[in-house]
Amino acid sequence: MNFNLIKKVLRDYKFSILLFGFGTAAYGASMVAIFPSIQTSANDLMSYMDKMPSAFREAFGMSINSFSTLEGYLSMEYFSMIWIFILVAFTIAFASQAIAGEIDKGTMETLLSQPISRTKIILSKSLVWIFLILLIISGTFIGVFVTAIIANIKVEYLGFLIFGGVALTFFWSFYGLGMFFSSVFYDRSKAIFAPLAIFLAMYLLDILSKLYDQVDKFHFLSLLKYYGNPVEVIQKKVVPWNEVEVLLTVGLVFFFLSIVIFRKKDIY
Amino acid sequence: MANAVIEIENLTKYYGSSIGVQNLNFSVSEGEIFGFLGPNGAGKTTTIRLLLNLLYPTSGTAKIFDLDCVKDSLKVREELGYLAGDPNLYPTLSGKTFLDFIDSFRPEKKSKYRRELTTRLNLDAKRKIKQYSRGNLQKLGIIQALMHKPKLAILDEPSSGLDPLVQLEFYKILEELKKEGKTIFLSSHNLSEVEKICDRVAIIRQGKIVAVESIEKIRHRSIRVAEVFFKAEFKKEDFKFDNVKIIETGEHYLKLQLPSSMINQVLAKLAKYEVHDLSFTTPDLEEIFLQYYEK
Repeated sequence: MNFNLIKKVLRDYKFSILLFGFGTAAYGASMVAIFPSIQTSANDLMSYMDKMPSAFREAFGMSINSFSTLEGYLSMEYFSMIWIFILVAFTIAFASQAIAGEIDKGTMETLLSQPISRTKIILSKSLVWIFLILLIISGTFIGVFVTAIIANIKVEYLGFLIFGGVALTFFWSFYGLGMFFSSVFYDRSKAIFAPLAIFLAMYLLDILSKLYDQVDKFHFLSLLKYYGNPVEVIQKKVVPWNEVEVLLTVGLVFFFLSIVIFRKKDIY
Repeated sequence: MANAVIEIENLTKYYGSSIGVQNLNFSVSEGEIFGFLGPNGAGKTTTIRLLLNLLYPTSGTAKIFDLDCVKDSLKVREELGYLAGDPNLYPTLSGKTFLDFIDSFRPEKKSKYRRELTTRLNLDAKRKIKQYSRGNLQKLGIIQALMHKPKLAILDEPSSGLDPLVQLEFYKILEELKKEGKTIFLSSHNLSEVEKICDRVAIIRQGKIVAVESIEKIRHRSIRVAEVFFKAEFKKEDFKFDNVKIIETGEHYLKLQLPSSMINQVLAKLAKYEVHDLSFTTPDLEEIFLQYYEK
């Protein structure tokens, strides 16, 4: 690790972290704030939902809990959709900047003329990403918890913590992918596009797998499968180790590959 | 001969099937200012990037301080200052913050020299880098490369963008560093600059070294231009030699291009005539450079 580089990257992200941290926290808080009025209409909403095909309900994470419990509601409306889009986008943007972005801007040349190894550059930047993603996840949960306390809504704290861990491994898997493409490409836009396209394809595959049996056999290819339905993790309060292992491994493999590629990469 | 700071042996770099540089062989001694001369695309920046291990060689070796530029790159860079040809220096930072950042990689080498350089090159380090003009960006690049007084400074087109007064100050700085025993390796296509400050020069053409010579030797070995004004008519045939090129003739006028080794033979022929005026011109580096390129 290189403390100077860590300090610099943290400085680079000071405004975006405020934006992402407060943004996700405020959005989560607003979801909690409107939950009581959703809860009072739960029966009406459920009867409306019952008219939909069951596969459709499953595909979008709708269940009996979706309107009657805070966990179910947040899971369907926030943690399965907008939240992962925002955090995956942040992760991919960070990873693409870490290598391809610096090469693209020409600053990597100056950085690599200093006595710092390429491995240390990746490790130092990755430590910053872990810190920032933890900050955003924590910010979201703090927003949810504080608003829930104010609104007097019961919250499964342990369940949320376990879900936070699962989510972290999910974002880690995309960080690995993002770093892999960042080390392969010289152009930052390509380093953003490739993992983003993979994420969108996986998101689509996840939905189609739940809708169509013939697609389900390919469901294992989508990392969303291992992220699962957040409400189940929160309510069961049990770590889904098998899924976590897959996510950690995917992240580690691609992260390791990114180090190998970057160490041998010509910097033009 | 002083210790070699840079030693390059058969260094080759291909970009796919096209040649970056091919079989480069030369060395740079401790305490010299070495010019690396060639037009754009000749392979100057490729060579520099190989020295910094930004690029990996296809074959051959490059050593700095007797350390391999690939295997021992990290150690090499501890004693190295580098200015890129087109310096991109974190536009969102201020000049000062950027210099602090670069300084932090060598905490044991912090000195007041950075402040001295900033003053001498007249740079306002408080401003954001994105607000800098091309000249100020170049000054900042020079300061970050030299502020820790590296044993070896590798400077890619260092004076580009500098105004003439700052250029003079920059040359003074290089001379002072040389006197302190530091080695400077600079690439340039500014011939008068190389002529002014370099001890030796390597000329690179299409990825290959054409010559490695001292500036003095290049001048001495090179061509002269002779202009003769005769008092009467002369025989053009008298001045036909293998190595001598007749550039222009008039009734009483002759202009020749000749290698310095042929001066005496030409003078012997001229002795037969009454000469009104005679001049030999030492060509500037530009002409010498073109001569190497015509080979």
